[in-house]
Amino acid sequence: MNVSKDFKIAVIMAVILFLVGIVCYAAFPVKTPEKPLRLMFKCKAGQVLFTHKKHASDSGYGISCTDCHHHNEDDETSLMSCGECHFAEEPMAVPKSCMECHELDENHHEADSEKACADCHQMGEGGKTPETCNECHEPEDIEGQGKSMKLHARPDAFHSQCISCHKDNDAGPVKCSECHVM
Amino acid sequence: MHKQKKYIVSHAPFWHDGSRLTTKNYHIMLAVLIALAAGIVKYGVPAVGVIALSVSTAIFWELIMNKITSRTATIGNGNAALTGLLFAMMLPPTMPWWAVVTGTFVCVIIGKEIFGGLGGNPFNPVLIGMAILMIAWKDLFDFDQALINYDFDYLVLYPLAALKHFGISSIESLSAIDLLSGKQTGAIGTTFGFGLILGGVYLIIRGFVRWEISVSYLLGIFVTAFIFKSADSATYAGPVIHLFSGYTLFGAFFLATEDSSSPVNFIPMLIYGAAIGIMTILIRNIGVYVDGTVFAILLINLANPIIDKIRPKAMGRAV
Ligand code: HEC
Ligand code: HEC
Ligand code: HEC
Ligand code: HEC
Ligand code: HEC
Ligand code: HEC
Ligand code: HEC
Repeated sequence: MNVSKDFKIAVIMAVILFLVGIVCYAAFPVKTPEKPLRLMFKCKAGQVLFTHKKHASDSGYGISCTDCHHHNEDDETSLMSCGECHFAEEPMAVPKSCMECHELDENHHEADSEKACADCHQMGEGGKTPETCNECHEPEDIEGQGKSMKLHARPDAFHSQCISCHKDNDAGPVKCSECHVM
Repeated sequence: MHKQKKYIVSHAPFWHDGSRLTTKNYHIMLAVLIALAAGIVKYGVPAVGVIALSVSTAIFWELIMNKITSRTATIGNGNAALTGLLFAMMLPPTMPWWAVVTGTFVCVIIGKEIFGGLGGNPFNPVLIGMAILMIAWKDLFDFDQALINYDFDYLVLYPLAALKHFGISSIESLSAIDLLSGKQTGAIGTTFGFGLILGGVYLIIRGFVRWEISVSYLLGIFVTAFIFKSADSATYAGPVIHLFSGYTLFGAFFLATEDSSSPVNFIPMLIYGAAIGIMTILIRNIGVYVDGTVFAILLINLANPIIDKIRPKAMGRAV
């Protein structure tokens, strides 16, 4: 053995491994499963690890999907991310513009201003965009709650749902530090 | 002034057992293979990616540095590859590529080359890389976050983190045998205790690693953890968890024993090892870091030159 042979081995090893490394990184990233195994929520109060699979599987706590995913039980949207309705930052606000929900189609002149909608369509109270969910929905229509229709922000929704179930079952964390890790 | 003749003395390592540096480095790589294989089986292709990228870039960095400083290329001695390998073993399999490349840069260039290359480094180069990454990108070393998309049939909580944040009750289900056989989450190459011990014992028998350091380190962990446990058994975990989870076993056989940053005399080796063990538990139990191994070894590396001065006086004359 001489030094230059060692040197050659090292260079060849490095080149091969480098290529292997690139291939592994490019072609085999760790897949995110469709149904989350565990979820890590990051927020100001410190991160929270939620064992999604363990909560939902029979070998775990055996909770049915719809106990948590509580909307439209019969269609796919029932598994929508909570954050799509319960916004993380602030409670869901009613869209300011008709266009946030409607797209204009062939019936409509392209530059129609929002106010102009009222010229042809019979509008709600005063022809304005609605300000609360209740202007279109009866509170009971959604969830049959009969409560204020202001949507919980996501952290509130989580706190309410996670903690109340833990309390009901007398199992699972209730104290802040049992969920939140700084 | 009269002309003084100066002797040029080089730094440690001085230990010579007749074999070449290259042989030694490749033997250490051989010794970690079992633990490494267990890690690859557990984490799959992404782990291979981290390892391959880490080893290769460590070699490249050293080669580049050799060229810049116009020295003879040292990569042939296998030390760069070994550094890259040990570094990769301490990472989660989901480490982003840029962090791996930055990490090996820090290990090889800042940890070793700027001190003049192997032998001049006062700290273990791998740990310099680890420490800087752990401080700069703390979240990357949150194993619970890093392994979020991995599913195992055992407790998928990083034991030391769970212990620190949620107390002993959260890790009750972990037994010594489970921990040793790799049924725990953690870095790519540090969770399979049996493999690490086997590799360590092999190196000790072959004389590549000094048993004094490994054994005194593990004893330091055991005794300190035991004292904490006896003082308050509701708060502190016993020695089993501390010995067999986190980086403990890996550190005992493959990190603390790095030649250039560890002592060579008998008593100093014992003190050095035990001090790291004690410091590791102190950091884990009362410090902020989840695993104290990295910082404990670095800290005691710092004291190494002083510790190594403790030795019997030469008989019969004043020193
Ligand atoms: C204990 C409550 C709970 C149970 C039971 C539960 N989930 Fe979830 N699930 C959640 C939470 C919380 C999220 C996170 C949503 C977010 O990030 O906003 C989630 C997210 C999801 C997502 C990802 C949604 C997205 O787009 O991010 C899917 C898919 C899902 N769950 C499917 C299921 C299925 C299928 C079941 C039944 C086997 C189930 N869940 C049971 C609470 C639960
Ligand atoms: C399709 C939109 C939508 C999705 C997705 C959604 N929610 Fe809701 N959620 C609502 C609406 C609408 C209400 C009723 C308004 C209210 O009572 O605040 C509500 C109410 C709630 C409430 C309050 C119920 C009560 O009794 O006060 C909680 C808690 C809650 N959601 C949690 C969740 C969680 C957790 C998820 C994800 C697993 C989720 N929601 C997903 C729309 C949604
Ligand atoms: C919160 C979202 C939202 C906003 C904002 C909104 N709409 Fe709607 N609108 C709907 C939905 C949902 C429907 C029902 C569509 C369906 O049934 O297919 C609807 C239906 C309609 C229809 C009746 C269509 C039909 O086929 O009967 C008209 C007209 C209409 N909207 C006009 C408006 C005008 C004008 C505005 C602005 C003042 C507006 N909408 C704002 C959600 C919204
Ligand atoms: C020039 C008059 C006119 C104006 C202005 C107008 N619309 Fe319409 N809109 C119509 C007519 C006509 C239809 C077709 C009714 C039908 O097909 O039964 C219609 C249908 C709709 C529908 C039902 C869509 C569908 O395809 O079934 C929606 C939603 C709607 N308009 C929203 C709006 C919104 C939002 C605005 C304001 C930006 C607006 N319109 C402004 C004349 C108008
Ligand atoms: C402009 C009127 C309008 C406003 C304002 C409005 N919605 Fe709706 N929403 C609708 C219409 C129309 C539908 C469709 C009803 C249907 O298809 O039966 C609907 C459907 C829904 C559904 C699905 C209900 C189901 O059973 O399928 C939810 C949930 C919902 N709205 C929540 C809200 C919330 C929360 C708010 C307040 C932030 C809100 N909506 C404000 C018009 C409105
Ligand atoms: C429908 C009931 C239910 C809901 C909703 C629920 N949990 Fe749980 N959770 C449980 C039960 C039951 C346990 C089991 C405790 C035990 O066996 O010790 C548990 C345990 C836990 C634990 C400790 C054990 C573990 O698996 O990590 C955590 C953390 C936790 N839950 C977090 C959450 C969070 C965060 C949410 C909301 C996103 C949530 N849970 C929603 C029922 C629920
Ligand atoms: C069952 C587990 C659980 C418990 C117990 C719990 N939290 Fe949370 N907390 C969560 C989850 C999940 C979130 C959602 C984070 C998100 O939406 O990203 C959250 C979010 C938060 C937020 C962030 C809100 C924001 O706007 O970012 C704060 C603050 C918070 N919690 C405080 C507390 C406090 C104080 C307590 C004790 C009273 C507590 N939490 C108890 C699970 C928990």
